[in-house]
Amino acid sequence: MINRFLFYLQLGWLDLVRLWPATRQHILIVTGICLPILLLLGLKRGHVAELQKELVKSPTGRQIIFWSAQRGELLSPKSLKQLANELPKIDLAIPDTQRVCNLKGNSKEPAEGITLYSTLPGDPLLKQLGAGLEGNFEEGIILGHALGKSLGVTLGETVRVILIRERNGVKETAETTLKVQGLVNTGGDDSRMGFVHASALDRFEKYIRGFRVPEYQWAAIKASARDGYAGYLLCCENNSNLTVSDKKQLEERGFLLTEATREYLELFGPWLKPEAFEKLRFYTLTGATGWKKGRDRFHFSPSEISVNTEADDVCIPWNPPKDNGSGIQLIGMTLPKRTWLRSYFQNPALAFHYETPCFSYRSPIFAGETQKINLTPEKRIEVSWLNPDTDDFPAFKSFTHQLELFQFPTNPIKSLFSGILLPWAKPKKIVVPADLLAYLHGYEEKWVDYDPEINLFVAISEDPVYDKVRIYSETIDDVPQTVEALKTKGFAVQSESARISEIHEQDSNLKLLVLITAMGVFLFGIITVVSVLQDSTDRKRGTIGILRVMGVSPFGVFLIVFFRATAIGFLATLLGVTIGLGMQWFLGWKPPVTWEWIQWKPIMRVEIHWIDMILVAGGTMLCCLGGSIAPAWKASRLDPFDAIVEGRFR
Amino acid sequence: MISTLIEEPVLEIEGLEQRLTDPERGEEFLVRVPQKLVVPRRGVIALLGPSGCGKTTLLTVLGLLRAPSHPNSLKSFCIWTRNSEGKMEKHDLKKLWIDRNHSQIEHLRRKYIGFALQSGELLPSLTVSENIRAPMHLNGFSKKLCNSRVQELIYSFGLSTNGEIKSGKFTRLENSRINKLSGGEYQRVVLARAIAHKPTLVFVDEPTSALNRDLAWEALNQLRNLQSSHESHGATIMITHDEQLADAFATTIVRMAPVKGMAAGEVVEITQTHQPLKTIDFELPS
Repeated sequence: MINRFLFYLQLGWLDLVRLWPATRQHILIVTGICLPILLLLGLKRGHVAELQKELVKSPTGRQIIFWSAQRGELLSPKSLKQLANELPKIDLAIPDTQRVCNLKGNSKEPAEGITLYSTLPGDPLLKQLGAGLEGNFEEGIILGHALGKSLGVTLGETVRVILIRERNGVKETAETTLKVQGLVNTGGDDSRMGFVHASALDRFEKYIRGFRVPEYQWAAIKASARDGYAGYLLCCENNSNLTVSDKKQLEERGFLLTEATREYLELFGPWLKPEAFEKLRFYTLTGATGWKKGRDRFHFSPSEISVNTEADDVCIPWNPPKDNGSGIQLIGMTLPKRTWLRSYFQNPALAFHYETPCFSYRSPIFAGETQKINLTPEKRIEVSWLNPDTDDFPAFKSFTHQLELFQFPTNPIKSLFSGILLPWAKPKKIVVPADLLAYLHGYEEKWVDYDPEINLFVAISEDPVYDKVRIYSETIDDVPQTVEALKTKGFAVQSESARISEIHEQDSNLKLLVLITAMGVFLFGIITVVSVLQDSTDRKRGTIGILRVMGVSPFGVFLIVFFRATAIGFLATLLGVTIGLGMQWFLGWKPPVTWEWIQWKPIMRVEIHWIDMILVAGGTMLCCLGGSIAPAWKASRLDPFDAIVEGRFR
Repeated sequence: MISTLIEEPVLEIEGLEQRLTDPERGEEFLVRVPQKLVVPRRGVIALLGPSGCGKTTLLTVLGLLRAPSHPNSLKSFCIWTRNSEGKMEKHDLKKLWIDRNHSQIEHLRRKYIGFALQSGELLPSLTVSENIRAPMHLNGFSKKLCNSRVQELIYSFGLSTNGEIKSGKFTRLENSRINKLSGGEYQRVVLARAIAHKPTLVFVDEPTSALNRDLAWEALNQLRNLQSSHESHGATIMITHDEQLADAFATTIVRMAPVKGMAAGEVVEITQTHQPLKTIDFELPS
């Protein structure tokens, strides 16, 4: 069976090569179908490429600049990365930021007021100028030729970047060294600009805004971070409790007011005088969903809250007590210097006041012990527990006394032994200023950092925010799509999309034209192939007849005709593509001016792509295969003897 | 009857009524074989008769090229072949046609029947040896067997001479393309191809029409020597108008004649000539 199949193919092949004049004629006919389509596609591409020429050469062709404007979001590096992933076919996204600084090179004098712009490796703008950052090296700088000359530096040498910041009349400077990775022509001798990696520029910006830059060991500006609070405690005496209007007013301000007298009498119990348990009331003032967390904490001044209430209350900025893992609970408590609340404490000085230095602590109990508490990896407080018998910290002489006063609904002994009041019970408590506890919470939540250089808790800068970004799409054809996507997201956009869209429109019109022409040509191509092959098989009726007489099956006859048509299609494609590529060269070739005899030749841009060749090859094969089915079928159905008899007379 | 004299038949047909319709003219023609026609082993059957009496039509039916128009009315239609173990095998062609078992019919035609038709119809894209080789390829002969058989036939039919001149040199005739052959060479190649795969039956349609008598007789002699030799199981059925040729070669002469008053032709006489098989010293008739 396989032998027969191979023999049929061999017969088809020999028919093709040995009866060459007929084959040649068929190949030329089919080539005449596919070649014009190939050239038409090439001319269309050439025309569009001619229109796009300038845009393709210039980086601005595929550049899109967009601003947050009124509706677009401000972009952090993370959200910019996410946006670039969401947008279709983005090659590069560079935040459009700049920073003025001074540069010092090999020359004696530094260059002042130099504007550094952000760039990234592969920046097409710099590529066009023949430069760019190497790899993802963040410590590089690209300078204008004139600036490089004035700094006395050449490629590969280093320059020092000097940044100056000023706060409250105090000037601070910071320096870092960058390697010159490119010298570009930035237009004119007075051009005072350079390009640095976007990440480096973000760090410069961070420094200028007063933040610490650990990458360059630059300290923060000498100012503490803002202390933030999870909520507030309001303390009133029974006879001057919060009124209904106070509660309403606080709720209107978005606070959630909850009475928590018992909880806080328990917490402060060891340090309170007995009468406090009868006369004091505590309320927690939180956000609508409870204690605030992270950067979202409250920053109101306590007086700002209590001044608006009718009750004579004391507002305590409050963060939940914190155990730093050393078994000691830190309670942040700061009160006004003079307040009636202090009189309820056995030691009125226990709570700190607002001028107290941050790193302070007090403990009324655990006399004689010394313990180290790690506040942060860099900051450690050594606590010497004071003698409770001294005047400063009178110890609680009798806990039974408090027990009498403390009214628990159920077994009071059990509650007390649960570790709140007894000095040997865990956790041990110390009092620290409210702002220290706020910072410790902030440190844990990573919005406050401890700067050992200045011994302060300083704010951690949030991610830089960009309001303007320049992005590059992969090709200019992708620009309109990206622009539309950005506009949908509310950004203001500047690009060449209008021009590109116009070219696209022309391109699609031409595509339609080529498509219609190709469909017509291929349709008539199929008809031509049917006709030609029909004639060819009619001429070979005698041969087909004898094949059938010898025992070649109808399928064998079909296969021989079909195989021959396939081979003709293949050879016609090869010939068509070869001639097409030859014409592409010839039409684009500009003869030397001295060859006057051929100056009449028009110069046309023809661009034949692989995809065009594949399309035309597909169309040609479709013509040959589609056009061969009917003749091959007809040939395979011939009556063997009739075929021989009829074949004699052809 | 002849059938009683023959011990080993290779083909038998009886009661054929083949109707042919010409759709263009709207005419019908009938070919009849009312009596039993048996083709014996090593027999040479000459079909004689005037033009238009249905000789070729009968040949197409016997050669399995056309289906009998009324297979049910056939009394018998069988072919005997030897299987690979050398044993005789009977194939009931009547049943195969009734069952429309075309693939089996095609298989039988390919394997057991050879044709040398009037105009030959060699394959123009093949050389002489490739043409002779074609039926063997179709029947799955090994390359070695093909080569030896081709050489045997080329030698037997006198085709081992020089052929066309190419680049100043003679090429072997066996390697020549068909369009370079003379009429005699062409006809000999046709005959060689017809028996290349050692068929049981060979049908030869007017072998002398394109040749002069000497060449025709010589070629037919070779065909008979190879196809109807003592070792052969085959038989030959030949259409001819040449009475002398029939007398000289046929062991059986089947005469056909038109039926008076009808558009029909039928077998009217089957004569056994008892012509001995001559393999050497063939004498041309005067």
